[in-house]
Amino acid sequence: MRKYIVKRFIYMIVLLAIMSVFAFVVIQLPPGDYLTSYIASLQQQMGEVDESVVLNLRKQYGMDRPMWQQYFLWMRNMFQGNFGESFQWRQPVKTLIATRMPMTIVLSLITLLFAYAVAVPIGIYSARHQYSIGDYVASILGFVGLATPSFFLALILMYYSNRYLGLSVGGFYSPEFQNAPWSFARLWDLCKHLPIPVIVIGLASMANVIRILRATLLDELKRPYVVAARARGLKENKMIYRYPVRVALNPIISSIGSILPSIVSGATVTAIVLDIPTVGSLLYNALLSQDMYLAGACVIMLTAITIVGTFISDILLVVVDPRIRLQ
Amino acid sequence: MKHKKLMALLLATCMVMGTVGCGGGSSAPAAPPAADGGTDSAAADNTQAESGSADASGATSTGGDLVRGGVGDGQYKESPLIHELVEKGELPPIEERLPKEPAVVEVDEIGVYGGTYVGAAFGPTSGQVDTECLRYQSILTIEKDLKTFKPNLIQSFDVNEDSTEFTIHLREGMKWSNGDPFTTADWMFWLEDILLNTDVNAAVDAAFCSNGIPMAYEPVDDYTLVIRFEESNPAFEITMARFSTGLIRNFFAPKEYLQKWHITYNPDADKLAKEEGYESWILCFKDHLDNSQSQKDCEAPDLYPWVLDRIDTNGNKFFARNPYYHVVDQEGNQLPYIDEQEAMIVQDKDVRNLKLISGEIHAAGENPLPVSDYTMLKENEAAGDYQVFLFENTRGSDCAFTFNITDQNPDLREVFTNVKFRQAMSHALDRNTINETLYYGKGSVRQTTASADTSFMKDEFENAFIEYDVDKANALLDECGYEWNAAHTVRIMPNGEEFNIILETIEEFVPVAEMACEYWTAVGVKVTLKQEERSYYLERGKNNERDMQAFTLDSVGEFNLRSVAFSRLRPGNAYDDLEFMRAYKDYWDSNGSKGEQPPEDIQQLYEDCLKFGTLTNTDPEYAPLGESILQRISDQCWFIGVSVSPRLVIISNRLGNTPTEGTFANDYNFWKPFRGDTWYFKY
Repeated sequence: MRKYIVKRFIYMIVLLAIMSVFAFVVIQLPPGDYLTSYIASLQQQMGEVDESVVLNLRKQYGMDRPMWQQYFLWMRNMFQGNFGESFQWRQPVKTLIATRMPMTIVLSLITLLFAYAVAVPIGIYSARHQYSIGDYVASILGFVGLATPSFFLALILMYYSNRYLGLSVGGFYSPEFQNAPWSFARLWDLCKHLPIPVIVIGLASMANVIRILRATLLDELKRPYVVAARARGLKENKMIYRYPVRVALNPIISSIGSILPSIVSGATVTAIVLDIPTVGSLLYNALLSQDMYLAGACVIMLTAITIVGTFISDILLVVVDPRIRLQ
Repeated sequence: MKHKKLMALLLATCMVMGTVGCGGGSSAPAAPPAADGGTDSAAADNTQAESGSADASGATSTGGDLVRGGVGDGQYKESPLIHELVEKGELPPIEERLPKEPAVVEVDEIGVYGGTYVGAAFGPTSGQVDTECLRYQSILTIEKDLKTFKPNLIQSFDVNEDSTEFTIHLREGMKWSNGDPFTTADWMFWLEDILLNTDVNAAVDAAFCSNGIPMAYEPVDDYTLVIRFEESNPAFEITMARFSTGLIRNFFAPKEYLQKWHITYNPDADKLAKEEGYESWILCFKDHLDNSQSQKDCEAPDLYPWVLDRIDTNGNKFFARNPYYHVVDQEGNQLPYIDEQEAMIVQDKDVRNLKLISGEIHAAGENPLPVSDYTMLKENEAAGDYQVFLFENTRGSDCAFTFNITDQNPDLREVFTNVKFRQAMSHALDRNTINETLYYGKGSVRQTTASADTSFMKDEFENAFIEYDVDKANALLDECGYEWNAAHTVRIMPNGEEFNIILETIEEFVPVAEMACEYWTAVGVKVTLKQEERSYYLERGKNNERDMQAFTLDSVGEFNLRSVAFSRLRPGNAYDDLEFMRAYKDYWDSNGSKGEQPPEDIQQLYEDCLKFGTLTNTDPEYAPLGESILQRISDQCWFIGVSVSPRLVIISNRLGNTPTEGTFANDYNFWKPFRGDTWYFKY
């Protein structure tokens, strides 16, 4: 077990390093980088930029060095907590991400919990009562959830929650709590604003989980070991939850790795429509304006989350499924 | 048995869901009024707490629980908030804060102090006009008739006979928002150390020049200053009335505050800049100087009713009341009535609509609201407690297309400089269909030229090359020698490649541009649309990197033509969002040391435009010269326009002293004649 975790952990580090190279390339890919546009804007503002200024800038950003050295410089700065300054926001990238990351993670976790809390019981019910009315209802709801464009649902929910519940539009907080210090009232305000993003973002993955769980559980329920367990007089509920459900959860757990980043970044469109400040919408705007330091840092962050998500799901799989442990 | 258990589980899940879902619901109806009331009652409390003294001082109290007017025993009254600070000794009394003779505004209703005005902002450093234009003040006001100007930031001014000398009398005792005195030293500082300092400012804006030569200041004493022009500049009045915020500010800058970052006043400015994380003093100084939408320094003083107070981590900006603001109403209440302004970042325009409908945003219009949203917004008037107005517009075209005639790509430049090509592209557009589809026929179809109400406007300029005529467009393109390819799908450029022009624009103009691209593809000129974020789009324009662009052509009312030497129609002055002769612009801006020398006809046109800026509108040469310039611009077909539609303006019913009709145009700085400092919250 320990060996397995250590091995996975080493893989994770290697993968992170590779992805950081990738993110760096992403920064350099578009024609013109942050610095050329910066120098261009300097020239625009100050007229002829002195050679020494250009040289100074190149030195400061390490642009006078070969590509691989620039990469290590960027990494070194990053380890020292220096992500550079955002061109568009005129704020350090670190502050921008640091203020958005906690809420992004909180939102993602709650969404994930919501999706599983709802989807797993429904999935089990559907499989155990195949072709019953409840199963049909759940299936229809699942397909509707998969098919509804989330941004559209977000707009509709936002409109009605404002119209009939009097909630402020978008964001995590009502305007009066936006910059207020933490208090019970602010927390309550946050709680009132969370359901819409949680439902909208959670719906798609929820529908997904229901379908997967139902399909795998149906497979398992026909297996001989289930029949054998029943024949030995094991209580139905105990039997179901102890054996087939446990097996059926496998694909769900391994999907955590992919669901986590898609909730963090894939909800970008929804986040923009809902006007919630998440890393996804920050990345989107950074890419549009070629705000490359910001974009690079966001890409690194999101890859890190993906990799950590995969790592967690790998370990969970071991915990849940003894077969993997034995390999 | 097992069924029961499972059902119970399911039920429990449903109930959990229910409570999560309705958690907001069950309590929400009660909460928002309470929360809303929080801000409101706070404001009301403030006024009520002071109602005793306010009544004693004779302030008019009209509505039941609302107390209009301010606090104070003397000639002037102030906001209860400020009064508290004065009593604590943190601020000097109002008589010392106001200039000897404050500006007086006749308001329709004496307002109630308090509240926060919220306007949408589309980005952290741009798109904040629905707060900015309600905030900034100019040297002169533009009165509601849009013709007269009154002294605002100054006491008065005199002009000599030939309009070459303007003597400015400042308001004695007037102060910046941090309490520093506002004197001619601030004017001299701006002219000598900012405008004419080539480190800080590479090229002087035409607005500060006459016939290409910058103005000169001559201080007489602390409160008197003479502004001199080489040549007559009769439109300078308009410039003074229209001036706005800027990267390097305009006319004056707070010397007292800024000098420590300027190398002339502080030899260690470079060191100070390094400490603040800048490469040189220039960038550092400019960041402190900036009072445009990218303002970063929350300490920098200003003369406006509200000044930048803080920027939160989401990029929302808050502007707090300026206790030294120099304007009072007819009863001596210091303006503004509203305590605070917020520029609230809104990531998406649908969200802005929802925020309007929910009443979270109090006014909108300068960040354009598409005419296509009219019905939806009108339907929700009651829900959002606002009113939708259709104001008049003075734009040249809601969306105009230009081709970069100094393109860095020589092959494209060859095509774009061909006037027949531009005419063909104009004929290829079915403007009526575009107008019907996108503007519900509310727009009026015209070519992009000066505003329709310009005195020397002619129908032929408005109708130049606008009839939809595919055959004519094809014939013109054939004449240019752009043959179709073998499959007859697209034409071939002179360099042998198939046409594929990249059209760059921002989100707002995508619908028009999409339709236009189809019409152009139909005549064999493939145009590919590329949508960009606004600041990136502008940046590319500045660096001459765009081949073709689409943007609004506004600021072309007669006002602008006179004051800014033919404004955006002047060669090289189409602004970063629509500029199509960047290399020539660089040449003119640098006096010939950079860029490219323009051809003779364009040079001549440029000079005529500058000359036009020196004529009074009573000069016999004025109209003929204006017409001749328009004729030439119209013949060149540099701008391809579509139509002009009225402006949607939305104002909350909660606000008082607000307009219900009028002209809403860049010429008059949009909101400015409607004076945001006199607005107040009725409830």
